[in-house]
Order: sequence, then structure tokens, then C-alpha cells
Amino acid sequence: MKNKEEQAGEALRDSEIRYRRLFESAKDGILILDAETGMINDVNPFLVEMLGYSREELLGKRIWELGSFKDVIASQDNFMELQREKYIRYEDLPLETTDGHRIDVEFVSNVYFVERKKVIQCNIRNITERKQREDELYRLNRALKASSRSNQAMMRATDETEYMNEACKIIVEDCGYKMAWIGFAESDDNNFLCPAASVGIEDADLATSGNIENAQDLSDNVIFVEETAFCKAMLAAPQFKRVQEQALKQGYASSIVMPLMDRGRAFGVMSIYSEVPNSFPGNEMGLISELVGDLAYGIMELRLRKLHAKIQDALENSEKRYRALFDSMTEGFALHEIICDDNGIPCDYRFIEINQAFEKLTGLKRNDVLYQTHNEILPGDNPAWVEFYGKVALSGEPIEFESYSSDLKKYYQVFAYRTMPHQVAALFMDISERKKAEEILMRDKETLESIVKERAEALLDIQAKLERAKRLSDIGTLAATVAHELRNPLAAITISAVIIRRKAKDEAVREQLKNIDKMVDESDQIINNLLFYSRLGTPHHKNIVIYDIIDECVENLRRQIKKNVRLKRNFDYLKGLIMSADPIQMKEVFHNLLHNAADAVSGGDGEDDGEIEISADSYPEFIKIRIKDNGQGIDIQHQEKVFDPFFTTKAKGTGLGLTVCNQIVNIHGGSIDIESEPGNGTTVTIVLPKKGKLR
Amino acid sequence: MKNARIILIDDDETLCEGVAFILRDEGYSVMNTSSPVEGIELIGKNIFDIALIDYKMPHLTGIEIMKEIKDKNPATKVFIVSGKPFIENVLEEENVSHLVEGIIKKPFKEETLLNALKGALA
Repeated sequence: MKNKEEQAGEALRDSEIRYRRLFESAKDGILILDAETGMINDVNPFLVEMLGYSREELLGKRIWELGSFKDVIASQDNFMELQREKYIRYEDLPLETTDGHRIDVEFVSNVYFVERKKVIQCNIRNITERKQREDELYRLNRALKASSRSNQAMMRATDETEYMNEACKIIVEDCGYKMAWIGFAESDDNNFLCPAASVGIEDADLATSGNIENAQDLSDNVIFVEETAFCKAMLAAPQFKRVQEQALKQGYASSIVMPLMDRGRAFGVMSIYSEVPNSFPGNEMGLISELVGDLAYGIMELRLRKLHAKIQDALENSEKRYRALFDSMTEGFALHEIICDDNGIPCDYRFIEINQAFEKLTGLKRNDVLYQTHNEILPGDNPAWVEFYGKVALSGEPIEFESYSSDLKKYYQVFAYRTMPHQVAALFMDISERKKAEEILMRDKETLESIVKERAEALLDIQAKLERAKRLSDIGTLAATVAHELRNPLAAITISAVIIRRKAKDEAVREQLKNIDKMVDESDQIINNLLFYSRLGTPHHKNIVIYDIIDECVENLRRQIKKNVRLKRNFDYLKGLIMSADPIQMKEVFHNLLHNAADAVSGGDGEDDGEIEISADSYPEFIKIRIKDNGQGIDIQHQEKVFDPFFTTKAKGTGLGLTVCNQIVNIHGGSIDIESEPGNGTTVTIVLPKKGKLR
Repeated sequence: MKNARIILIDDDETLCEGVAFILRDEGYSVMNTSSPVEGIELIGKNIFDIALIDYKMPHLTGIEIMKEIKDKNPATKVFIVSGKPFIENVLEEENVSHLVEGIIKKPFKEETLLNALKGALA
């Protein structure tokens, strides 16, 4: 039996051994410190291995002298706090190993007494792996969130700037960076970046372009090399010397610049700034580059969408304009699909599209034409059409031609061009009128020339007539004057003869006075003919009894001619007939014709046979009067000239009698005809309308 | 009406005297003058049954004289004696055809003149 002391000593040894075993084998690092001095009294092998110091290096040292613990119990002040509080626990302060690694640890310190001495036991557990898992989980969650938000932003985005601001916001809000901005290459040489969007720039000075420009050295470089550049510890990087101060002010510790790529070419950058150094480990880079890749794609997609909308818009406008032109143009338009036979030779074509003018110019209706072929619609038409369009389809060369459509009976002028293989468009005009005119011109060139010649001759004739009219007008003035001046002495002569006749009883004197009367008559008639010839104008129509006029003339003649000339009156048909004519002019006509007849019968030898017959017929519309004599007749060669002015075969006469008769009858709308056989007399036939018609 | 009063105005003096001689020879009471102005005076002082007036005279035309005569005595019958071509048309144009009893065209025959007067005085 051992005594109580021995038993106590054995128990102590056992406890000591058990403690030591636990201390040596523990999977946590354990430090035993002298609570008064902070000197390390003991350290277990696990901690030695964890930190990389030898046991000897640790023992006897004060804890704040060791680099690893400088953050944990960094000063005597902290140590004093531990002494006071008897317990501290940290989880957020990593330790640094001798080779520079940082280890995340759970640090628990307790103060207790051993043999009345105060000691501190520090238990240090390596929680790096746990920390890493937590971190990964956090990052994964963040990446998912950022990625989802980024996708949503891309889907929702309609405006590029808005979308880029949203992207920057995601980087700052979801990914937890201090600042993000996007810039675009301003021009093709990519030397200068133009800020486009940013989030997290609080300092107004930094937001101005000048300062941004200063911060862009790295970004410019990125655009240029089109690679990601980053600066883990911003302040140490030589290229950031220029912006050190600014970066410091803003609290940036590291940054990354990533190119926005489109088809292998950088068109801008995204710049991200962090307040933590070494903020862009590999997995973080993956997330960011994915986001930036999405952003670049999203921006391009937006631009494409915008471009597409613009193109769509322009296309619609263009279509509208085209349609309006298409429907309003006066030229016909048709789009044809060329149909080829087995040998590839064009044999027909199909109408794919036509405009309104097409319908107008061809007379064909849209519904009857569309998707039908030429040979179906116009089976008998000119095959030249297929040839022309086929040629264009094969050669691709536009042509202009004129062709006739035998089915439509029209000529067209056509301009045809190929729009795509096997499609030929044609613009055409109806030139039928022009063609017709051309044809008529060609055909009638000679006719036209002869017409021109005729017209020219007619003009010459008119000119001659005008000249004669002028001459006649001069003669008219002269004749009127002469007539008046001669008629007074003629009247005086006549009156003198009358007075002499009243005084002279001698028959021989009376006979001479008769001659005076006769000569005065003849002179007066010459004056009358000259007047009528030169002054014939519009007849003064009156309702006249034509019988009375003819009767007066016949009876005047009877008094003047020799008694052996027989005057046969066969014009009683005209009795009571009233017709419209100028009485003076009518009297002139019959006076002249009767005197001509009397001259004809009195010229020959057989004076006893002289006979003048005046006969007449009345028809509903006109009267016909014949004056027939059995006189000497008119020589054949003179017959054509009897109406010519101043033509006469008589020894005395002005040659105006028949001319005047012809003109008077003509202007009354009638006609005068002379039949004569030399030696067998002459018949003059006068036709006059009953209603005075003016020619 | 052999004693009918006739005035004769014609600027051709020979003709005027000749006609006056014949008419007096026929028994008419004739006043004649070659001066139209004197003619107007005669018309103003006398009443005539018949007037024989030349158309074309110096200072006055036959138509003007005729109007004087008709003013003085509308019953006076007026003959225009003229060698002027187409005198009928002239009278129509002057709108005086209705005032004229007849036209005696120079040169005229004795019977034409006497028949015209007889007709007018019948």
C-alpha cells in the first residue's frame, strides 16, 4: 500500500504523461507563453511544422518578436489586454510562415495558473482550407449572381450606354470592386480611349476626361496589344507612376484592364480597380473575363440590333419609295423569269411583277398576266421578245431595243437589264404613234413631196390671182372714173341727137342720128363690161322675176338688130318664177350673151338665116337657160380661151363680155357652158340655183 | 299733166340745157340750173312735182339736195340722174332708196326719160 503522497506523485506523473502525449500529438498548434513576460515556454511539433520555425528558434522568444504573430498579438498593449481579459479569439487574422505563405487560422488564447504561475496557452488551428472553400462558395455565388444579372442586362438592354453602365454596376456592386469604367477606341489607330461608362468614380475630378486620360496609360496599351493587362499592386507598377497620387487618393490597390474584343480585334476596354492588392487571382480573372466577354458580345449585339433596326427602317422607306415610283411611273415595268429549254436556250419567260403603267400600255390586266408566261398570254406574238430578254439573261448585258408586238398591235421601246440570274427587268414605252408617223412619213415621202409641189403651185396660182386682183382693183378704180366721166358726155350726145331729131325733118339726118344712138349704146356697153369685170363683188341678192329680166334684154336686142334675124322665145316656163339673184348682174349676163349671139349670126353671108333661140327649163332647185344661135361658131383653138379676159376675135370689143358673164354666174353658184361647132352655131347653157347661193 | 313743174339740177351744163329744152318742148314747166347752190335756192322758193338731180356735183351731192326737196315738199318725186357706176348700191348704202322715185342712168334714151316722167305723174 502506497501512501497518499506516493499515490499523489504517481497520479501527477500519469497526468503529466497524458498531457505531454496530448500536447505532442495534437492536430492544433499549441503555444505556452509566460503570461508575465510573453516569452514562449513551449511549442508543440504541429505548430513547429505549421509555421516552419524550429522549436529552438521559438523557445525563449517573446511572441511579438516573431514575424508570424505580428498581426495577432502585435504589441505589448495587445498582450496586456490578453492578460486582462484572460481570453481572446481571432479568426480573421492570417499567419505568415517562414517562407512567406499566409495561413488562415483560428486563434484561441486562455490564461491560467500552473503552480501559481500565470501561463497563456494559445491554440492555433489551420483553417486555410475551410476559408478557401468558403471563399470559393462566395465567389461562385457572386459569379452566378453577376453572370445572371449581366445576362439579364444584356437581354433587357436597348441603349448601349445604359447597358454599359449596368455592366459597370455589376462589376462594382456584385463583384465588389471599387470602380469600373469602359472606354472605346476613338479612332482606327486605337491610340486614344474615349470614356463611355463608369461606376464608382466618386471624385468629380477623376471623372473629367483629363484625369481619366491620365489613368489610361495602361488601358491604351491594352487596346494596342489586345491582351489583358493587370497590375496586382498598383502602386508598385512603374507604368502607374503618373497616376500614383490619384490612385492613392481613390484608394486603389490593384487594377485590371481587359480588352473588349470583336472578331479578334479590340474595340474598347473595361478597366476595374480594387482597393485590395492582389485582387485578381485566376478564378476571379475567369469570372471577369467571362463578364467582359459577355459585355463585348452584348455591345456588339446591341450595335447589330440597332444597325439592323436602322437597315430595316431604311429598307422599309426604300421599299415605300420604290413602290410609289413603281406605281406612278409612266414607263411600263415588268420583271421576267426566263424559262430555258433542255439545251439551256431561252424559250419563254414568266411575268413575276408588273406595274400599273404596264397594264395601261399593254391593255393586259394584272391578274391575267402575273405568273403567266409570254407564250401563254400572247401565243401568236413576235418571238423577238423572248430572244431579246433571253439574250440579256444569258449575257447579263443590258440592252435597249424597239420591237413590235403583233398580238398587242403596238410598238414598244424597251430597256432591259438582268436583276439576277434568270431574271430580266424591262422598262418600256409605247411608241406606236411615233412609229406610225415614221411609217407614214416613209411611205408617203413621195406623196408628201408631190403634195408640197402641188401646194407650191397652188400658192403660185393664188399669188398670180392676187396680182391680177390687184391689177383689177387698179383697173376698177380707173374704170369707175372713166365710166362716170364718159357717161356724162355720152348722155349729152344722146340728148343733143334727140334735140336735133325734133328739129330736123330730113330722113337722112334722122338716119345719122340713129347711128349716133347706136354708137352711144355700144360705148355704154363697153363701159359696163369694163366696170363689171373690174368691180365684180358680192351680188346684191333680191327676189327677182327672171322672166322679166330676160324679156327686157330680148326686147332691147330686138330693137337693135336687123329685122331679118329671128328671135325665138321659148322661155315661158320661167313666167312667174321668183328667184334670188342680183338683178343688175343678171341683166348684164343676158345682155352680153344675147349681143354675142346677135354678133355671131350677123357676121356671115346668109343674113336671112340668122336665128337666135332662147329656151328655158325649170327644175326644183335650179333653172337652165339656153341661148342658141346658128351663127359662125367658135374656132376650136379659141374655144378654151373664150372666158379669158380681154380675149376677143371681134374687130371691136373689149374681150370682157364672156369673162363677166362667167364670173357673175359663178358667184351666183351657177355654171355656164359653151358648145360650139365652127360654122354650125353656138349654144350657151346657163344653170342658176333658185335660191341664191354664194360660192 | 303736161304743165307739171319740174326742177332740173346737173352740173353738166350742156346736158342740163339739152334736157330742159326737150322737157319744155314736151310742155313741162321746167326750172334748171347747173349750180347746186342755186338749185337749193330754187327749191326753197318753189314747189315742184318732179325733181331730176345729178348725183355727183361740186359742194353738194344729189342725196343732200333730195333731202332738202323732201323737207320742203315731201310730195315732190325725185329721180337721180347719174352716170356713177352702181349708183343703186350707193343709194342703198346711204339708206335713201325709199326716197327715190327712180334712177335714170346716163346715157339715157329719150323715151326712157319721158316714160319715167309719165309714170311718175300718172
